[in-house]
Amino acid sequence: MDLSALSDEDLLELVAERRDGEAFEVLYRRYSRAVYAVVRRMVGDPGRSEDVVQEAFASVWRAARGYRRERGSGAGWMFAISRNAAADALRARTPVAVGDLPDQADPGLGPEERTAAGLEAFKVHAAVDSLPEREREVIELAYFSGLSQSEVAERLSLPLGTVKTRTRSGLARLAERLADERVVS
Amino acid sequence: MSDERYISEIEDRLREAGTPPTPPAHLHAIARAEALGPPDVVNIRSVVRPSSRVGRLMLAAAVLTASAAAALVIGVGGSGFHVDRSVHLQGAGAVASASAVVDVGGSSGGPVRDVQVHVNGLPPAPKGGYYELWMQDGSSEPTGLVAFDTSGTGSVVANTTIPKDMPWTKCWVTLERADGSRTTVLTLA
Repeated sequence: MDLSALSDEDLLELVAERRDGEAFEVLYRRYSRAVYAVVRRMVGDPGRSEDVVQEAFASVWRAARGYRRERGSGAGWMFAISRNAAADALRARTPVAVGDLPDQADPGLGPEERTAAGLEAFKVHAAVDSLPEREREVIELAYFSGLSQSEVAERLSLPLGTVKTRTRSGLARLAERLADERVVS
Repeated sequence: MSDERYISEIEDRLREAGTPPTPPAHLHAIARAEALGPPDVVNIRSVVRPSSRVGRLMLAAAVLTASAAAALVIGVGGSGFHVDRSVHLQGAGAVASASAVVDVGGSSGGPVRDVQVHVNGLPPAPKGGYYELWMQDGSSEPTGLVAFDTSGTGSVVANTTIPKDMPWTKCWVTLERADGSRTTVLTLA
């Protein structure tokens, strides 16, 4: 069976009920960048972030039995696991010296807005990583690397029409997945 | 929603999310081991490098047999292994997503050091072929250290030893095919 076609929820249930290592591998491939991005944003230090990501995925393996699909999506659960692992690491960090405190309040997003924005980015990154390889590479080059479709075609040695078709197909697949996750309407 | 509108919305979300940082390749093996425990273990202490095609096929068969037997001893690798130095290898060419960590142990006063290579994401070798770990110092002849194959999950831990004083600055893994041809598949990250 091709596990990569399964939903996050199905994969988590395979991990929970059958202790399925292959299902865990698919989840890792689908979520490693999204988890790493969240953790890096919260923890900062790359080495420490690696430890946290490692702990987050160990938690996924250990805690999958606690996941209930009726309570929310697999992506949301994975996000919560990642944030909790990062928060645990931050709690263990040495307190900041008083002299290092900022003079002014951070004018950026508040905590709730940050969480919402972080969850949305998390779901987008995971959705991109769940695309078939040929769609993922054109989407990443176009939207993450900022290349034009002509430049993508040249980079991948593909006809421009193929790039356009794959991009549209990838965007349609993302739309479906992100609508399921309520990231887009 | 119209096609154009939903595509425009998805494009906005992609741009807002930004490029995610790529986790280091070795993290996969570490996270996997943390969650699932160590992968299959293969122990082949010495490498015989046959020159004939028949000899290569025999060695490949031996490696595959060892891999199958190793499935019975999952979890025994690494006990009591004190790592003195670790190097990371990254996949090349068609196996760019593969990775390996080579752990070199302390000598503990003995004449040799234990070497343990943790391979991940490397598909099983083609029929009659096998993988081999190499080390080399400067312009000296490369030394083949251990032959191995991977399991269906692309993971394996192979163990070998090197002389305590053996100098080395380069380390890589090759695919040794049944026809005698060779391709480097993992190089220093």
